[in-house]
Amino acid sequence: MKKIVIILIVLSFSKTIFAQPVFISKGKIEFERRTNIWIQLEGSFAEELKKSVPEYKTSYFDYEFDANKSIYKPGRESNDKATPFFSSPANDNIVYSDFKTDKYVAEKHVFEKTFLIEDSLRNAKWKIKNDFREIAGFNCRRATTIIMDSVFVVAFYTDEITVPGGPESFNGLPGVILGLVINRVHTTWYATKVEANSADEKEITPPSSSRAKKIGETQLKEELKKLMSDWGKYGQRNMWNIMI
Amino acid sequence: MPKIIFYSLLFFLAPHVAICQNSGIKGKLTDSSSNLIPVNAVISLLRQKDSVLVKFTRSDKNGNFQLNQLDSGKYIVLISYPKYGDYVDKFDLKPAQTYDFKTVYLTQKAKLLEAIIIRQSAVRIKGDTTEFTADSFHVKPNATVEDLLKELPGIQVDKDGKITAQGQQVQKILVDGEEFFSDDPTVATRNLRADAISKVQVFDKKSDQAEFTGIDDGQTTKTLNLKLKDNAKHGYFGKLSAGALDKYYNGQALINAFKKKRQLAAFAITSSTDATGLNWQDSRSYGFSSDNVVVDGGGITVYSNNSDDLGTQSFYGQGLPESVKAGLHFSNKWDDDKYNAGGNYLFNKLDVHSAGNTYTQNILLDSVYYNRESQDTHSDKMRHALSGMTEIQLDSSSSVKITANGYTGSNQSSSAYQSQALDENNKLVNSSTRATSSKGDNSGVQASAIYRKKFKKKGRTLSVNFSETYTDVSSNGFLNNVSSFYNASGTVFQRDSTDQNKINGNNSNVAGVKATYTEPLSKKSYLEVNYSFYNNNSTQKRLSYDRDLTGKYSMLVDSLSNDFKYIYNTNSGGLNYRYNEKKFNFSFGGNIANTAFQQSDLVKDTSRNYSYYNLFPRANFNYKFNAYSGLRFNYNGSTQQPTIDQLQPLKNNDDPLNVVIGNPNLRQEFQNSFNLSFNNYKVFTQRSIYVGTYFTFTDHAISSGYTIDNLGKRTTQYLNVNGNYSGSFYMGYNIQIPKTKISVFFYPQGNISRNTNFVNGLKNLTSSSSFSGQTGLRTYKKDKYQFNISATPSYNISKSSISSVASTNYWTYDYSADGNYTLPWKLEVGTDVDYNVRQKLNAFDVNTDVILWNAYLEKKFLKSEALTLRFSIHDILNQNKGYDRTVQPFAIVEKHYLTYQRYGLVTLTWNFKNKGGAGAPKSFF
Repeated sequence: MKKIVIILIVLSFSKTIFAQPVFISKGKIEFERRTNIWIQLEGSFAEELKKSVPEYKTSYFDYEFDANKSIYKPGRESNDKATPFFSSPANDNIVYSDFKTDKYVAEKHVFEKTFLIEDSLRNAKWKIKNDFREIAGFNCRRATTIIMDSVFVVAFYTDEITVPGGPESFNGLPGVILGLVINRVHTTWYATKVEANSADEKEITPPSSSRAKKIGETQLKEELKKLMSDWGKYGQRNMWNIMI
Repeated sequence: MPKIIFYSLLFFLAPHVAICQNSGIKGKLTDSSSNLIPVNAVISLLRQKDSVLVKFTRSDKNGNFQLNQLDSGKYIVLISYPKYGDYVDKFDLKPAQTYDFKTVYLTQKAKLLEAIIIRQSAVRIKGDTTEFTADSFHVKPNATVEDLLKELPGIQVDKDGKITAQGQQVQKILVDGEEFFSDDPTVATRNLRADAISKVQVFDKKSDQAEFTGIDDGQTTKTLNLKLKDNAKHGYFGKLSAGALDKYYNGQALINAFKKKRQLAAFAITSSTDATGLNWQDSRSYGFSSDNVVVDGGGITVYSNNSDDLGTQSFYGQGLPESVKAGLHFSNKWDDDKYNAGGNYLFNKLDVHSAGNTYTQNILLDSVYYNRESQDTHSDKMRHALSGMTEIQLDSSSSVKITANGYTGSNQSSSAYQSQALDENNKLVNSSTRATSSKGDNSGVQASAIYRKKFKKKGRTLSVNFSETYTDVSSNGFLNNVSSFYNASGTVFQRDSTDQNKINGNNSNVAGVKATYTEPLSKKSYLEVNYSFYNNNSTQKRLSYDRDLTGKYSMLVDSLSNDFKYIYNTNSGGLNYRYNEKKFNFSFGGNIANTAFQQSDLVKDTSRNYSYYNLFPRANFNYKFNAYSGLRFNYNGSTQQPTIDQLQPLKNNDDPLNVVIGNPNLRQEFQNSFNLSFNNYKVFTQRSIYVGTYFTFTDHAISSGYTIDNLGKRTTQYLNVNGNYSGSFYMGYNIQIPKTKISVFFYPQGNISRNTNFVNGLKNLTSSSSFSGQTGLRTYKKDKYQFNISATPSYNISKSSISSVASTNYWTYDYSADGNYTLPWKLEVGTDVDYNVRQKLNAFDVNTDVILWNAYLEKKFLKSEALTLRFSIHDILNQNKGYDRTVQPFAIVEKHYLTYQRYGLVTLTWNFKNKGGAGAPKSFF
């Protein structure tokens, strides 16, 4: 995975000249979302299916942000071969987060329906760890949390980008999340590209779709439970995928 | 009442909370070695007990920071600044206190600590893995892994089998690094023996992504890995089942033993019911199937390679079979799975007794006559088959797969027929008595080698397939027939008799190669080129001998005998273009094939050469409205070559009243097929709709010309006709009734077709159509019950242009219901009923309505539910009839045949596995 770091920085005038780190409060990040398909293959066909199904399904998302708000939405098209039957619902979400009002608006395609979810930002209890790794040229600190009672989430955030957001509706860390790993849905998000100051503020607006059904998080969860209670493991995984 | 308590609690707690949030912290950051002021540094406040982030802020342009409205409590402050070491401090925040850090000095980052390796005799810590040597801890004989774990320091096991290691619950158990087949860790810990374990490793398992890519993503799961001793990597599982009652029986024994990646399986089945083979699931889990799975744009396709009577479909429900089947399977993998190989041996013996009556109504323009025939056949088949497969991964981009299989078998059958032909006034026209018998042998070998290569450029691939198929079939039989022909007054005026020995032999060898190359033209379009060459070398021998005066079958009947040799050489080339967009894709192309063919008559020593071209155009278009809705169109054109039997100008007198002659002037037929379909699925309402239609018309269709003489003898000859077509329209609608788990479905369908043939030189157009609509309800609850009920009315219309009857129209109704229900005490009941009603075609027609009702009661025993006792009754009302009605161009054929009626079975099934059965089959999808 090549990580290209393009930092277009216009340094603001400052009395301090040497070694002062640069903090980014406005910009655009590209995330690469990768889902392992092979690990989800079960049964006696698994070995044979592996020959014709690529191991990972890759897609790209753009994350644009300024100091107080951000939008996460599908980005460039991936070169992946189409993998029928292995796509999960809600894999092309648009998520608008407003960190000032503590609200988010997300547009998610779940099977044949489009939902416009409006609710408060997720209030995850992040555990801060003493592990680091570099993502897209930024030094990131590891933090973990558990969402939806049992889904373990690892995030890597950097102090150097000050918006407290990240992919999907993840937020609440002292810097932006550049890496996100959720094993339960076999998916990772990693930043591949960071562009400072390139966000178009007009782009950072809540999604609105006339066809979408407006709903709160709790009601959506109820509706999904009703639908997928009999779907077993597959239903559970869908539930996580949609409610992320 | 609980509500009141809750509110009063709130009332007491609320002011307390308000007081607590009065606390705060403040301070100022500075660089310890220069005058640089850390601006925007992150000051995070974590809870001491679990390092959960409570609040954070950033330092201002002077390096000052402040956090207010905090609860009192024990905290950690973590101050981070890029390229600087973290400042970490624990402190106690009292109510209403503003904790002042005063000046905090940040310093350059310290060196990373190197991994520490601690060695001990029984416990070894390397990185984040703690490894215990199992034999260093004492456990009782026959102890399970769970007992062993209880002995290990730092590991606790509670009464439910839940394991806690180093303070965290173990979420995953691996056996030799591979995931155990159950989600429940106790399946591994309570079933594996402690003395099979060499080491127990405890670690935080990295995510699978990290393990594949080698890049640590930091996500972990507390994991226990049980390393097996080398001699313990084996296990077995199997099934024993026996059922009998009265003269019916079923028996099955299956076992699968494995050691590391080596698998050895065996089975034997014997049955006097239609359970004549392994079911699909068993044949997969015991390794006796060679299905290919292919994924393409449209979905997943499974190709089954179960060939003729080796597979499960060796018996089709007509007659009473007795069967024995047995097999052995071996497979293994070596060298990190780079090589794998496997083989099967299968034995199959099937004896069938079938009997029946066929009643045919022949309707001609100027007359109607009837045929009655009764038949009684005993047939025995036996076959041994061997097959082998090996696959070699040459490198990461290329592989070779070699398969070979061979079989040798024999069959034997004898039949007795009696037939009568009657005219429209029910007067005898002819009658015959016929006996045939034959003994035969068959053998064959099939081998192929496929080389596949993926090039670096995405989408560029090459595959080359060499194959050879050899078959040899021979038989030696006798035909004995006496036909009597009656005149108007009912007396015999002619009697024909045939007493012949028939020796048949077919032998063919097809060898060839096919190469396919795909080249990406752009990111979205691909071109596929293929070329193949096949050589087919075959002989066909048919010899009929009459009996001479000494009683020997020595006189060759020339008009019924020949001996041909054929050589075909087929060259085929093809080109296909494919274009993929997110919303749609299409492809078109085709193959052109040339076949040069030489036919030599070995008796007359003559030979003829033919050469012809065949075309196979194709086009395909798919449009996706969304993941659950799409439109597909598909066109296929293909030429169909007449078979050797259709070409040979040779009489086949196996049934002397019904003779078939080939036609050497037959042309190939050309079929155009169009297919259009649409589907839409709504997940939330569980509603699905599909609509589709297909249409096929055939130019120069190979059809038959019938000549029926005044003695009731029928001669059939093949010829080409135009104007044949067939088409169908189908749709389905399925919806879940809101607020229930009940689904309603409706599947209407219509078929039309037209066929042309000739009867006594007259052109006959047969048009037929049928309409049906299945409607029903279904519901199910997982592990509890399942019910289906449906009704299918159908209307059939058939018309022949030369027939004196306007048309043959009739209704049929099929009603069916089935269900099963799980009761307490591990009991399950199930039943299914089918009620078939067929409208009588005339007043003399026999009643063929049948209610077929089956039921069973089953009880599972043992904690693992491994033992099952089942009582089942087939055809409780004893009404089953073997019956079949087909409407032919100028005839209606009704067939009654011998089949099962009421019988019961008591079946005991035991599914077993040993304690090391870690390789038991995974679930099927």
